[in-house]
Amino acid sequence: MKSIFLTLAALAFIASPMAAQAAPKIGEAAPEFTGMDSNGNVHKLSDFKGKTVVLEWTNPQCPYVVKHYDSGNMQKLQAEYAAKDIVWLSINSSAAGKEGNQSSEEANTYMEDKKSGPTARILDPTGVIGKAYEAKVTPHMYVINKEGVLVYEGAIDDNDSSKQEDIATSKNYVKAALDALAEGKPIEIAQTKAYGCGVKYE
Amino acid sequence: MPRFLPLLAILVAFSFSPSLAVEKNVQIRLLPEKTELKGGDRVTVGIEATIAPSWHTYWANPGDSGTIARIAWKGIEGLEATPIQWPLPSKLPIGPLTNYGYEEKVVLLQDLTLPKNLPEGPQTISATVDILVCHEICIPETHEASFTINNGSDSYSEAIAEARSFLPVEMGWATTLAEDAGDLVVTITTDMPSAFSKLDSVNLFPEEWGLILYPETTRATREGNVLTLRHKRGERALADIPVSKVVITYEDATGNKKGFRVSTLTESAGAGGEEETAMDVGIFKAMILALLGGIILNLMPCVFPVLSMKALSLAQLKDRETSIARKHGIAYTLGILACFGLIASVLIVLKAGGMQVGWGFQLQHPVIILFLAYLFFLLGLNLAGFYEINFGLSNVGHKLTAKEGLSGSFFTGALATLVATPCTAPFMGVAMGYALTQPAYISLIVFMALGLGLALPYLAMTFIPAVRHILPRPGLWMEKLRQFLAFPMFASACWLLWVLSQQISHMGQFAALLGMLALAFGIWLVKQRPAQKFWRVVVLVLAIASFGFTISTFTGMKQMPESDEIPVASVNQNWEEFSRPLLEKYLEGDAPVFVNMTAAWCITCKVNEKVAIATKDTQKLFADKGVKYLKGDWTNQNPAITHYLEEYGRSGVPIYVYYGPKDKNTGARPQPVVLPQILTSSIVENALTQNGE
Repeated sequence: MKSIFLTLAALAFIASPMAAQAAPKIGEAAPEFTGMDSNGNVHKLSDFKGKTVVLEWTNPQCPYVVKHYDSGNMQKLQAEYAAKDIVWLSINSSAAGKEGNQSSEEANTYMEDKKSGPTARILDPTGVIGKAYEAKVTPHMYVINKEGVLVYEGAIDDNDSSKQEDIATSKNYVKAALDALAEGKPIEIAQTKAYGCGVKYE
Repeated sequence: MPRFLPLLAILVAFSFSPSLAVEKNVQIRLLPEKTELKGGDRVTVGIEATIAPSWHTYWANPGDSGTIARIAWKGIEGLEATPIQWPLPSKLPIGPLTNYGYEEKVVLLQDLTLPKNLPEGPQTISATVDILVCHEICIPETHEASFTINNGSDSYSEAIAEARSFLPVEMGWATTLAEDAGDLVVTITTDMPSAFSKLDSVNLFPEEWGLILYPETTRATREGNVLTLRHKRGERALADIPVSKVVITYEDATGNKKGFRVSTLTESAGAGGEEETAMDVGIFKAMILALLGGIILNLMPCVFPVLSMKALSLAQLKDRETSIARKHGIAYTLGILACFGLIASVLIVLKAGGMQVGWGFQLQHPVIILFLAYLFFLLGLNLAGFYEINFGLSNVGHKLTAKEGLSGSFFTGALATLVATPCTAPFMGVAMGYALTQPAYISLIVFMALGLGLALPYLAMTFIPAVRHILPRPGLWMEKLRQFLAFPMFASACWLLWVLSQQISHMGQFAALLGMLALAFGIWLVKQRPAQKFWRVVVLVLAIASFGFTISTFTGMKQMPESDEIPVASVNQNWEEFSRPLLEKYLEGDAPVFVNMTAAWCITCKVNEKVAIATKDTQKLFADKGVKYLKGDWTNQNPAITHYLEEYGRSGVPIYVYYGPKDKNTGARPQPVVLPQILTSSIVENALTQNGE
């Protein structure tokens, strides 16, 4: 009897959709999270209060992530905004055994290879952070302002092709949001449809 | 089946890999509908993607992840392409995410318009197809494909026709989007509500992103002709999307996947109250129509004699015997209502069981036709005075009494219903159509209203002595009238035999005629009362044998198999047999289309054809306008026709629908026009000349 109950409870847990949690909404406080980066440091969102935070969902093997890394587009953004004291967290929610899952060493080697310099690369193989933000694809981008309010969510730019040559002619939504924040202007486009590969959750 | 999939995958991989330099997960082929083309022509091209097992590609809204296919055309300067037409998608759960897309195989459709100055000779048109294919991982693939026109290459009109059958059907139904308790609420006013019998199978696919949470399930409910879908809301603000398109898929009664596409309007506040009153008006109107239809049924050739005889017996009552008359009136009404209730219940049960039935379905079975033919024949013989058995009709010259005959009145009511069924009054088409698309209790109410209408004239006579006084004094004329009324009965029997001849073989028809002969002979024998015992036994045996033969004829009434009916196109035939693919093919073209749904047992249909459609003038008009004329025969059951009738809110024939020609400038077809159920050639002419002129 007990085992039946446990099985049912487990099933209910598995079946419970991610929507059960409060979905992050533009203009509302971004969900708090705690995550460990590739160097073993623990980060909390609330640690960065007073700073603008960018969340970038990533998967090194996803062709759409490859588009933005092989072209150097993502690294350029990371460097540009690091210089402006903006926190950039790359988050890898690929589960163990799934495409793009990385150990700490693999993550560090990857960053070195790609010359990628985010504030931190957080490994989230259980998908806890990804599900809290309802991150659906890689790259899925979020911008959180200095007050901890979610101000942008969606795609990196307006061209969902997988080709690097399209980047030059694309409008970068993340850049536009960050620049508007810096200038104290309202963010024109606060939500878009993120494009890319599905996040490889368990 | 799933257990064979890995094996299949290996086989497929094995058969494909040696021939390919780079293994791709999608194979792309271009399927032009036509390959002989000239400048300015428009041609539909299918982009066929054969997808490796367990991989998938995406729909117009890919869902939680993924992207749509992109197709760039080149090869001819000035080539124009319409947006992609997407076949019905499936819901593909991938872990906690859900995609909208396709597995195994999909054919996307695009229309290409060739430039006016198309160069002479063979031309190659090619496409660069960027398509994302995923299962666990995602691979963007780029394919080059091409086809050549004007060099005698293969065309793929059949494959295109098949691909079109997987597209959602565009519907102009009023659809609103609203938000309620964390749900997106899609409210659709449909004119074919009974199509959505499997509410569990209904799935909502918005073309805009972010309206709903894709992994959640769609909850569908239906009340009257309003289909309501609820689905957990997504992250995007509704105000962002004032107008959008949604595709709704469902399984029909036979389990086939169907779908339609509607434009939606976002509404700020619910307008539930209005809809309810709209529905009440619907019921009320249908009840009035049914009541009127029922009253009119009294005048139909098959019912009139039965009723006349019933009415005449009333003429012999004195005013103070009104209470007796009332009892008979009530018994008669109850008989009718009981019979209608029975027919309605059978219909509702069959419907609920997923059968494609409509009003008049009783006449699709030869056994019932034969039974009715014998019944009319018997009634005719009775009226003619061939025999005297109380059918509730023969009490001319007998007074109604309170003690006996009440059950007779009840029986007459049931009989009236039975003989009324073949005579579908024109008014009843709409009311019955409405009734059958409604929840059971409303159907029943409408049927009861029809029954009440049928009973009303007699009921009025029994309750109001003044009405009875209109009848002339009893006399010999009543006997004459009774004999005369036998002839409409025989005429009805003749007609039913003709209907039967459309459904069964010649031998079956002959058997039916012999059955009638045996019936008459049997009755004659029973009337004989020989003095000797020996002859009495002989007569009895012969009578039993005669009736036995009549009954045995029912066993021969097998419906002819459909495949036996080879449509023979006669020289003068200006129509083709209706089929859904043919209709869709013609609607794709530019010419006007006329659809006529008929049945052998539908007198209205036959009359209309005779006076309005098969006339020289109308035939000439059809020819002049280049009208594609499709005729569907509902004499026997045909689900495709039933479904078509439902789309227009009907449950019976006839129906006439005219689709005007496409506008030369916009390429759009005007709204189809449903013609009245009673046609004249000028109505047909008006419909054809007003549209698209």
